[in-house]
Amino acid sequence: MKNSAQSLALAAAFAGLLGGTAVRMNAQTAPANNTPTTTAHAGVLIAQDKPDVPKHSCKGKNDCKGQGGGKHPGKNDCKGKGGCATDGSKPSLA
Amino acid sequence: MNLLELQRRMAEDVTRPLTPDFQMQLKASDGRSTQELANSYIKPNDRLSSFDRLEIYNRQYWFRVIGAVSEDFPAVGAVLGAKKFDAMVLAYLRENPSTSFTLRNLGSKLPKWLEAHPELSPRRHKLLLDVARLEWAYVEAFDGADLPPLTAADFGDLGGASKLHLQPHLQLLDLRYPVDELVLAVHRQTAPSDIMSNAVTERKQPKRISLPAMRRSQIHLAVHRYDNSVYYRRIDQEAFRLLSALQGGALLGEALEIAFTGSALSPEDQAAKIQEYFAHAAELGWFCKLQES
Repeated sequence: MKNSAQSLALAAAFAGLLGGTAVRMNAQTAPANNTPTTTAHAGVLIAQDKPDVPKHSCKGKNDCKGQGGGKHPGKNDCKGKGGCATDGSKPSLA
Repeated sequence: MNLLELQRRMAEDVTRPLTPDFQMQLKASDGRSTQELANSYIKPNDRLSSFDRLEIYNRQYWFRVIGAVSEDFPAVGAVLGAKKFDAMVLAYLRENPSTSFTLRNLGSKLPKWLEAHPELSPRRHKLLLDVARLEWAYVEAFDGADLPPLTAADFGDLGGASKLHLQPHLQLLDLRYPVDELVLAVHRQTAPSDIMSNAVTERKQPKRISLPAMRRSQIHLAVHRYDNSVYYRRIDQEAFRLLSALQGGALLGEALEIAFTGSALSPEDQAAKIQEYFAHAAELGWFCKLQES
């Protein structure tokens, strides 16, 4: 880039940064009933923070813990009973 | 057998790959009988043998890791079909076993691994790669760090030699197909509980998902988190180059040059684009302060 073009580009970047930051700051201080315009610029929504089931809530946890073959014979029969629920619910008793 | 030996024995037995029909193998890799190995440290009870009891844990281990990968790539599953997808996940996990305390990263190598496996879907290999890359970007955007965005006060001494840092959750993708449409279609047609199914053999028959037709058409995407939700945003090629350069550590002046290399736009039109790109990025809080280590 030539010097003049470089200066123009930098000035544009600076103007954009200031303008965008001002919009963001205003959106943060807008009254709660106003939908921030920023959301419209964010793009297409894929996932909200509170899906029906917490993502990965069971990852790394053993849903058969303490339910070894003795009390609940059969394979995987303790699965899906909420043993690792993260929402405070209790696992159902078999 | 001391505690350490017992832990190692059980870890090896629990993580040993299953048979093709998801049962515990009868022989260990060194040829020893798994029945005898189980008898050596697990008590049977009146209903289950030592082998049966160990098999519960062996199977649960694999169902859990298979589930952990599967739930992160529902659209790859929709493209491949359930049978091929399950086989792919197993093959991937055999080469990329869990090595971390968290299963969050288990699928991180899948997009790269897929590159070396065009045989899984010869006709749609490149499409599959794009889908996998986008689905992994979603995971990164979902829980990547969110650092304090820059404020107007931080721009005081901004110049061509300045460095601008981007939010760690921001993922930039250069894709050959408009797979954002495909992934969105899968999300819309799949309940969260179906995506999060965690047992390959107990998975409900997957609902047949209608996928949009995909024609090759390059797109650039920013996958990011805003207000605790994940968004896809299509961006111009120039914006992609600019942000990728900044993400790669280029100085502001260098990044601006990279973005418009070979561009036919006049300097004035380039400036208008630059202002727009920076305004959007700043509005979304993409420029951030470096985390102090």
